[in-house]
Amino acid sequence: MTAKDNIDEKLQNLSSSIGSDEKFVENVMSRIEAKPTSKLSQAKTQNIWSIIMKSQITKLASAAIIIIAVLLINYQFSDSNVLWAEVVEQISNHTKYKCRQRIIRDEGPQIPSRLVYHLNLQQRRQEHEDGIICIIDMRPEDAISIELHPDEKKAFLTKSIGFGPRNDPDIIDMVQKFDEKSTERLGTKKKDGEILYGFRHKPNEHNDFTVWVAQDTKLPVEIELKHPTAGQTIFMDEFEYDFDLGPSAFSTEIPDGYEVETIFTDYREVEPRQVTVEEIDQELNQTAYMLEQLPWIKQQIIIRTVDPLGTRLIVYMIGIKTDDGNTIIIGQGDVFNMERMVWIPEQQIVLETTLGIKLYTHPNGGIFAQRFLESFADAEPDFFDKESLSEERFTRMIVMSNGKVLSLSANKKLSLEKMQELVESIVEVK
Amino acid sequence: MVKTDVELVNAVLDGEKCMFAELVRRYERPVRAVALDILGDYHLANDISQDTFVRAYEKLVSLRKPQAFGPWLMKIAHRCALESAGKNSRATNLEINKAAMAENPNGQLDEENQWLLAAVVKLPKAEKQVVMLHYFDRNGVRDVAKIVGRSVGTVTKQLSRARIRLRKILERSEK
Repeated sequence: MTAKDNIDEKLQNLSSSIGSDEKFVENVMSRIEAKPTSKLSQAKTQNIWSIIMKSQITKLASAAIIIIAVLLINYQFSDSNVLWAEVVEQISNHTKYKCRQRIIRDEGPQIPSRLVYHLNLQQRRQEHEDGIICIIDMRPEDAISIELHPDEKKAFLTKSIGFGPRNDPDIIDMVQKFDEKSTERLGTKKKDGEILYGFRHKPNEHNDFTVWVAQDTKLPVEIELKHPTAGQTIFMDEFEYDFDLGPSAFSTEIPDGYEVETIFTDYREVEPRQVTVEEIDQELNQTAYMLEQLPWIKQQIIIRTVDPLGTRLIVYMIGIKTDDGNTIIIGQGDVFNMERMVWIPEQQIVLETTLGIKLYTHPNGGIFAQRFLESFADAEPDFFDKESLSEERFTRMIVMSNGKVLSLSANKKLSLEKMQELVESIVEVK
Repeated sequence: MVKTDVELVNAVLDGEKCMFAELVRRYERPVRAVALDILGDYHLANDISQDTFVRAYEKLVSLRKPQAFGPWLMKIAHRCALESAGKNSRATNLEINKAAMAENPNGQLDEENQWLLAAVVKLPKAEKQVVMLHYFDRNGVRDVAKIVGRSVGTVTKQLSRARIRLRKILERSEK
């Protein structure tokens, strides 16, 4: 039997195993029959449009019309201009505002839209579409945020020790820091009969802002913030400045009748030190993991230090020395969770073990590995020497079968078999 | 006469709802394969496959390139399965799996088929689509070419490349 036949046969066997359900088509169609058809009628129009737009002549004609329209609009409004400096001045004078915020992710579950009320630069209230209310107060040294679930009468109180007092990271606050020179003018557009002036600022590959401001108030009406590397875009609109909502709406006192779960997150400066798995288990808000000994592991130590990626959160690193001279760091901490790892589903999956553990590439794996290895070297110079940093270094994100995320950074290449053996030896601390 | 995906999608968008049944028939096994790879359980994968087609029907309006229906559908299947996997805690999944196993001992794939399925799902988009249409939906090469709107030569090459990739992956897994 040839290799081709062999694969053919295996694929045919697999097809039989996947099977088909006699009633499958019937079941799907009966569910579809119950759906209204109105949406599909819109689609026909869309299709006709796409057919028209396939013609080169139509495309050129459309482009010409658009250019003429833009020129006409610019001509019409060229007398009344809005300068970016005026926008910045107005924003600085209006720190109390509300807006609607939507986060659209390219992949993965979507986040419900929310109304965000900024009382000042340190206090915020968020009313989520699904009924959840969040109140954030960055004034105290231990910043406080509460998350209320009115339907379930449940509240989560997060105390971020040593995080405050500081300004709440606020998009509009970032916007007013745009430099006039690097802010591109986008011309004008009309919204609800009002003329809006557009500005674009792209400080780096991670952030791309578009801001539309009103001609009369010179305040933002729409803001779009694209995070291309994170695969998400934040839209802000329905702005209202100096809204009418009393200070009590920003209280972080939990209302009566709520069951409260308190979470502590420590942002205080810490000296890196060696810890035991029991300490990780006590300190982490999520499942703690340890590594079972493997024959090719020469030495392993665990340290507790500040996240080398700059989040100010604590991370725990298991440093591993192998018998062939490689150094591997397994990272874990509250900073690693699927909420933050929005890009994971987009990346190429490298490996899936029979235990359901998945390994993904990291978009900036080399830098990630460098930071983790160097941070380990700072804490334990005898364990890893920064001078030994290799060009082969890489990072894989480990998603455990329960969805918990860890990182794996290695200084040198690691075979797929060893990588599999290593991740399969990661076990929960009991 | 085999209709292309483009013809079927356009017919559905023109109001011929029944044409969607042909797309369901065509992609039933490929969609179930994607769901099965993620969920590991036949019964759950079957439910998610149904959800996938219903969601695809609802979102057909947003499909800008009807020729990309297959890969687009696989993406929806992938997302539906991931959402389902996320919704069910590990414990719940284990309970479901146990119940499924008790009801039907063949509710899950054997180890070799799991490896092979995982390898098929990880093939490049174009190769994955032709492999699934050829092997899982049992279409001849000419029909696959017609369905996806590529030449017979291209489909033959893609199938051949996919077999080489799969063979290598399987050889590695057997070591």
